[in-house]
Amino acid sequence: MKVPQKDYNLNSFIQYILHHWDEIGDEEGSREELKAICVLTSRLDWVESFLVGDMKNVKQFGKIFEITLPYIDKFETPRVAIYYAHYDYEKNLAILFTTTDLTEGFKKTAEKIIKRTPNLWNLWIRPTLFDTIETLILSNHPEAQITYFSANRRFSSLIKSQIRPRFDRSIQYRGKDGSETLREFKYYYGVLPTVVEYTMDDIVLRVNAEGIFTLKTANKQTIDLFLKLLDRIIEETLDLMKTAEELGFSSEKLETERKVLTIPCVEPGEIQMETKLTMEDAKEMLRSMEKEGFSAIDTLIDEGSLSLSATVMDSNKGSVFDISASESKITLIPKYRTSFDSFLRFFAFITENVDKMATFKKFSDIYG
Amino acid sequence: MDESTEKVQFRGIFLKKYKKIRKQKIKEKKEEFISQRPRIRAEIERGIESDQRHRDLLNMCIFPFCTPERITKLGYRFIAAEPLSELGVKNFDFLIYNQKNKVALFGEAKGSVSNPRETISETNERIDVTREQMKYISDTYLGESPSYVEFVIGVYAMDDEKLIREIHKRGGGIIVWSIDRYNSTLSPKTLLDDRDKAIELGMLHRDASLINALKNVQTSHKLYEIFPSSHIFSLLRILLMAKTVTDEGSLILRERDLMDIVREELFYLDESIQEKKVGVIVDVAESIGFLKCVAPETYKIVSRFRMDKSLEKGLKRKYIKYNERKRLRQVIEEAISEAKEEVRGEMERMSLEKWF
Repeated sequence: MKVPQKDYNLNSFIQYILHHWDEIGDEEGSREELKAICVLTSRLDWVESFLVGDMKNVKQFGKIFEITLPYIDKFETPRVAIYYAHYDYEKNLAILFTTTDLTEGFKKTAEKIIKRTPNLWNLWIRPTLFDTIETLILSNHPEAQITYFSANRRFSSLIKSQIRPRFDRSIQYRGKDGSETLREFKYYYGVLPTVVEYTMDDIVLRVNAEGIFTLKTANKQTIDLFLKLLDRIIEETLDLMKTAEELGFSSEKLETERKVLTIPCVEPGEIQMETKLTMEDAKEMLRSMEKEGFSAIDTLIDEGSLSLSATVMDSNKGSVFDISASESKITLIPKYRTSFDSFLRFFAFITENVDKMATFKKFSDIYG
Repeated sequence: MDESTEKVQFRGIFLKKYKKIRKQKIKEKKEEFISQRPRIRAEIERGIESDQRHRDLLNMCIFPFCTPERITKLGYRFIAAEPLSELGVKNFDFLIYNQKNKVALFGEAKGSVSNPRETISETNERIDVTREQMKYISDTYLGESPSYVEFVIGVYAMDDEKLIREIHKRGGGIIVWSIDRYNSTLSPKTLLDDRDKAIELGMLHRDASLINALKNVQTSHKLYEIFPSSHIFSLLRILLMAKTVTDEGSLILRERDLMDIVREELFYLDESIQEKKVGVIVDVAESIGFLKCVAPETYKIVSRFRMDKSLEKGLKRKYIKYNERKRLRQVIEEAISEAKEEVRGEMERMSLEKWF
């Protein structure tokens, strides 16, 4: 997808895409779908993270940035992925529009940057929010169906499962009864959705739990629905982001008669769960965390009830935080190079593997 | 040991004898060392874990004084860990101060209390030292004189009652904080029903609002990774937090990054002491082969692992091996000096026999 250079705002950019979709919806010769990749960040310099080489790969078209990122595809051919990004200051949200394929082009370019840059985070959609999305869609489009979904579960997950809970499993399902099937799979097999496709009269919209929307029908109705869902998702996720951003380890000055003392001031966070962790669960949790890029050192686990403490290193973002846990809560203590998304990725991990109803709040909001 | 550098004062048959005995002694000592290696290793591991557990409890004691909770709103703040440690005298584990009412709390974290009498005697010694050094404390740590001082021992809930009884028996003067490690809560505890009496005996805080704020206060096992007298392995572990990964994937440690972390962790110490700590960490890490200097004040982490958990395991393995080698060198030296002694004794005996 390539749009001509002129000044756009989000609205005029979308209008341009919709009016010229037949001409611009190609990606190096083949027809591609329009994707909107949503990224949360409060960094005003966020676009600089996408600069590469001679730094000429980012151009400003009014309120839209054109970002061109080179990569080598699986046939060793040099290619480029082009993104058109818009940033909403109020929502702390960047939307990257692209026709690049998600499996290779996105993975080798923007995804790598988002994953390694502190304070940039793919808009996470917590599993329970998919139910809200379905309700919201059905209230406006009673004919809507889930025609595709993908869902998975880790063997160590503590999310309820009726059948053989101690198995890793993933499922991709196509069928017009997707809604019922997903419910059944959730109930019997304890899986959580990672991608859900909603089909209505003129709309086919695929929603990925990492905030990637595939607008299979590039028309006004689909764009409107996407923006409406985005508002609802942002409403919830922005609160989490604000909580995570307020966690910190700083110092204050205390003036006494003859000295100015430096004293520490820590704002921790707390995850509260209904599920009660056992020692075995905690050990498994520490093991599973590694797949998400979290490594635990200085670990101390005591049985009785449960007492767990560790220093967690986020290898993706280079941040360091401490955890102190009992059976139904985990305190997160920010330490070094903290990045709000490290806390939220950890919270997402707990939500997806331990308790999907878990809550995340500032320590001072609970005990202050 | 290198024979050429060793000064051997034996000649002829004595030299021959010495060499034979030395060989035998070294062999015996080495065998003894090998048989004791698992015990030595366990001892080192126990030392590391005991430090970790002490830190855990100490963090639980100070955490409520660092977070924006009711306690800090009252003015009680964590000032320093191990005050007076720089003087090499018996010291408490932490100092908390309230600038509003000028109350200072000196506290100790005690992971297990097998002998309450001994624990209290030790604490009383610390109290005496603290009282003697009050001017120094006021000048160095607080910048003013506290109007009132209280002494605290933080213990796990299973130990609180026996300790409180013993304190009561010995006339009071120490407040017990009971810590529930599983629920991560802390409470000042007394067995006396009469609160005023407990305060009078110095077994409960004089400030009623502090008692209320501390009751079942939520705390945390984690806050600081190191304290001034932390085990060297705990100090080495912070290398993992200070390191950076280069674009090529190498793990690099810059001394200034390590200094930044030491400065944050031990913020209450003088910069010169903080610098010394950094020096010690880097020296030991180089000695055990975990760091290799690649440029001024820049080091490469020598490990085939990249995940921090594996790096920590590798670091521990290197630290233990280094200590084992050190211990082995010691036993070999012992064997050599024993051999020398034996031959020397024989020489003396023989010269006496000649004389007679």
